[in-house]
Amino acid sequence: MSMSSDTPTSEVRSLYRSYVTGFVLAVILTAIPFWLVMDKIAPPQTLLPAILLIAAVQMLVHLKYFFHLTGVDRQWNLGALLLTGIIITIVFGGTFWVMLELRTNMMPWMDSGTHQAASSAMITGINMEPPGMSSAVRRAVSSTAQMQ
Amino acid sequence: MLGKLSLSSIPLDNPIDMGGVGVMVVLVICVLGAVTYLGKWQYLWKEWVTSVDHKRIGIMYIILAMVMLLRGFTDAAMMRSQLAFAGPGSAGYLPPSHYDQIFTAHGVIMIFFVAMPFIVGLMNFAMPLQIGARDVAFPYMNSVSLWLTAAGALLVNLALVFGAFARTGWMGYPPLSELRFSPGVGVDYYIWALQIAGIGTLLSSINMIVTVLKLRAPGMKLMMMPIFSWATLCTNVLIAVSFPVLTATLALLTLDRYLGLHFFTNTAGGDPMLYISLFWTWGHPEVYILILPLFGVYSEIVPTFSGKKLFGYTSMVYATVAITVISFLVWVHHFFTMGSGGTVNAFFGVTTMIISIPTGVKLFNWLFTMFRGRIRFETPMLWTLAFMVTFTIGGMTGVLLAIPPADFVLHNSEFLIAHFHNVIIGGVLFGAFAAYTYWFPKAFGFKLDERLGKLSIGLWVAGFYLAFMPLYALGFMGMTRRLNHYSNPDWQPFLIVAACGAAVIALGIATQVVQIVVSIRKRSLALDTTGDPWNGRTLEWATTSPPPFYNFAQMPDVTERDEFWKMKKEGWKPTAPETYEPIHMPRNTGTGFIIAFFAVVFGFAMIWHIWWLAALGFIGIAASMIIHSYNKHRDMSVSAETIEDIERRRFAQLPQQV
Amino acid sequence: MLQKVTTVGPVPGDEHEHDPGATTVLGFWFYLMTDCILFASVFASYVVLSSSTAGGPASHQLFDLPYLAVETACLLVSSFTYGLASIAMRQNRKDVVLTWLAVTFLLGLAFIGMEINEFYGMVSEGAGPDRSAFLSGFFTLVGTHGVHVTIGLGWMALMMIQVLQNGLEGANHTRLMCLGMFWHFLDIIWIGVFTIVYLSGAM
Repeated sequence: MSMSSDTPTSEVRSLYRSYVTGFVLAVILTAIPFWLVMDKIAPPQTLLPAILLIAAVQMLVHLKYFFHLTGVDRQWNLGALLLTGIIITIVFGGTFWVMLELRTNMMPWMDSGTHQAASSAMITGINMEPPGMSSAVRRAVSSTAQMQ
Repeated sequence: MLGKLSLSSIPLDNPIDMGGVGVMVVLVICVLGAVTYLGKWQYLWKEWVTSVDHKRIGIMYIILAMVMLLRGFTDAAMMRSQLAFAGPGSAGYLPPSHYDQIFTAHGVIMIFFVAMPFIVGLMNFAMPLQIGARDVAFPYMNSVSLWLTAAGALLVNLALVFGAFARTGWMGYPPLSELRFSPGVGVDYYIWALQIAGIGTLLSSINMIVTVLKLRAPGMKLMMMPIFSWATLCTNVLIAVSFPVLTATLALLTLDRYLGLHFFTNTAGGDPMLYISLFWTWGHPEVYILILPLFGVYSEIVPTFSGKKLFGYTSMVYATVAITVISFLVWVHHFFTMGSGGTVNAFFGVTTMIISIPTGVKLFNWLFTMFRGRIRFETPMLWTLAFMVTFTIGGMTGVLLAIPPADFVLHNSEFLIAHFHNVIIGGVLFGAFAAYTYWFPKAFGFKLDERLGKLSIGLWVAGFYLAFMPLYALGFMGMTRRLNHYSNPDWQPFLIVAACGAAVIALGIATQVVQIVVSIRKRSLALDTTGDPWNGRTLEWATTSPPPFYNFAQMPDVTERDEFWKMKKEGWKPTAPETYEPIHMPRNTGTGFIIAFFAVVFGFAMIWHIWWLAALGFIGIAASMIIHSYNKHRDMSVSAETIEDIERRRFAQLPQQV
Repeated sequence: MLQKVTTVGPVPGDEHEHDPGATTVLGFWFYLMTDCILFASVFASYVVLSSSTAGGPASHQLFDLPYLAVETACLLVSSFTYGLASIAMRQNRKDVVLTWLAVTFLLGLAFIGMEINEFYGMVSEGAGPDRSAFLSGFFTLVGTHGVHVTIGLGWMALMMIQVLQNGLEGANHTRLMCLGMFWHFLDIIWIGVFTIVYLSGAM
């Protein structure tokens, strides 16, 4: 990566091409999901995976056309990116899986299936308490709050 | 004007607390007085506070860790004595509201301000020397990291004087840590101390990863690095990918407390279990961050003191990398009992058991290294042998806890306490002491007193087993953690034995303090004149003790593992080099210290809701960074003549070296 | 968080260090990876809490997609204009660099302005971050991105001053490269935000 003003014009031209291509692709990959959602082209079950996939592709487009991972450290850049991707998958997926299982086992009335129970829980505002629990528990909860 | 802060924030009515404050104030005055009396302020500022030399920064990290060990141990001693007394019919001498702060501070201090600074200090000191570098990749940032860590430690200690510390346990679980149930400043001290120190740690990890990847001596491929340097790389990768999770988790808790948001509250849709899951997503890698460097240390000490090369270098590297990756897949084992169900628990139980395998590989490699070696039972090796036995016991109890049905009985019991102290003290602390003894001569030019070293090992080992083995039994007998007092008379004898163990450990610590004093007094009798006091195998021993600020006058050309061992076999002797070249080195700077100063101001002000002061602190940090960015005199060129002069003088006056 | 530059170049051992700026750039890349994980944690929290509306407004009632499209366009175009600034930096054309940096800055400022406006509107109609866990997650995730963009704008302003004073060599070259990486990274995060928060929330 030379800093001088005699950077070969061919390198400059290829850089321009890279940014313009990346920009155009990004615009297209942004417009498509917006259009799909705003015009409700398909039901959510189909749309959601589609827009997630398009987002992932656009991220790769940015990485390739805007970031220019070249030079001596390319392998470290890519290695770090790969490791980060794996960790993000674990953190995201793991958190999601664990929280989902916790919700299903410990707060089953919060699932959208039981509309009555869920809405009554929301109205009391105390979401940790299953509907129908005695007022003794409510009193215990509020007295704990008063302890310093 | 001063937010929530007022004179009544100082706990004048609490004699134990004021006693602690008194001791702290007296110690601080003594130290400041001694420095003034000896006229060393300028020296301290120019040579240490503003230093960007990795060796000095490493030493300062370790000094911080050792000082905080005294505070953390005092907390432990208070807990042990309380429990020895507080059996049926007695409330002990520590009321619950105070006791809760003590066990919280004990955990926070030991993990964040003893263990972390110790390992970061060791990695800072030794790794650049081992890879043949002159310093880390970003020396100024290194200084910032050190002082931010110290800033966090200072904030925790200020909680002793102003207000109270958190009463939530070191993990800070909501809903207890939420504003509704902890309206005081304690949890805010916890949050800001950890966030500030955490930034320092994160920056330091990036620093060391780049150093290992880019600044190795010519010819040193990754698979030729000493295992400690590999451990440094893996540990810092683990820090870099796990600490952001902690930063995010604490930030969300901060938003709940300061702006009334609902991430972890138990109203309006918040979910406290989310905190627990995210916290342990960081928390489990954290404990591997603590142990991996010490595994690296053992991989240096065992070959050196067995006179044999390390058995199974490649498998050691792979085992270290495996531990790094798997440590991200086990976190739910910290909350098996919280209701995630059979599938989740089974998955994480299996992964937890799997992660013990690479550690086993390492242990066998050390044993095979010792086999048919000529073992020298000096202090570092004795610490290592103590580690091998103690850590193995702790590791096995860990595998036991990894089985979810067993954990359902033992979760949060004293069995758990015994397990993690077993592995942390046996693994991390014994290793830290081994490493400190091992590299001390390199850092200061003389060895520590060997007899006192052996005595301290005996006391620590005896004390550890006395203090913690009873806790395993207590766990089976149904005693949970964090109890202030209890009514089961069967528990008391065990707790009395445990308190005696703590007393023996106190003697061990006292021995170590005496060892430092005696070793300094007698240093002329234990001088390291060759730079290689242990007949070492790696490049750090090719320098003088202590090394010059530029480490190596000539960059070594590396062709194999244990390069220094090869050099010695080929007849290398410690002499001044023949040719010299100018060297570029970074200049000292006070910016790191100044940024940390403003960070303390910012943190303290945020804790006490003194918004104008917090703004000032923040502006101070930003301004310091911007002003530093204009500094064009970051580095200097050391001329060849200067280096030649330094080298010749060092080698000429070796016998009088201090 | 990360100071704007670390050293002029890794000074130690530079006999075998041909490009000190490259080391700083590598370190900054690693920092960006840690920032990714920070965002991933906040994203995960958002997704877990996204249905916890506590009887308050839900996503499909709150999001204005055409408005979002304009915001997104500002940020995306600003990424492109920073690219043009990078090219001018290669050609050592200081005035062109400053021009494109200024354009990028204005676009970024427009993005932040629109975001603050959106937040203000939501708070005034009772859909503030303290209303429910879902809204806490929304404001924090989008807000964290916004704070990063704001820091980037501050950095950009500082860089424009420093380029004016000291030109494009040495430290400023490395710093502009790091800022560029930061800016493009924020656009990548925004792709995640508008997809996972806004588009899926609006469905």
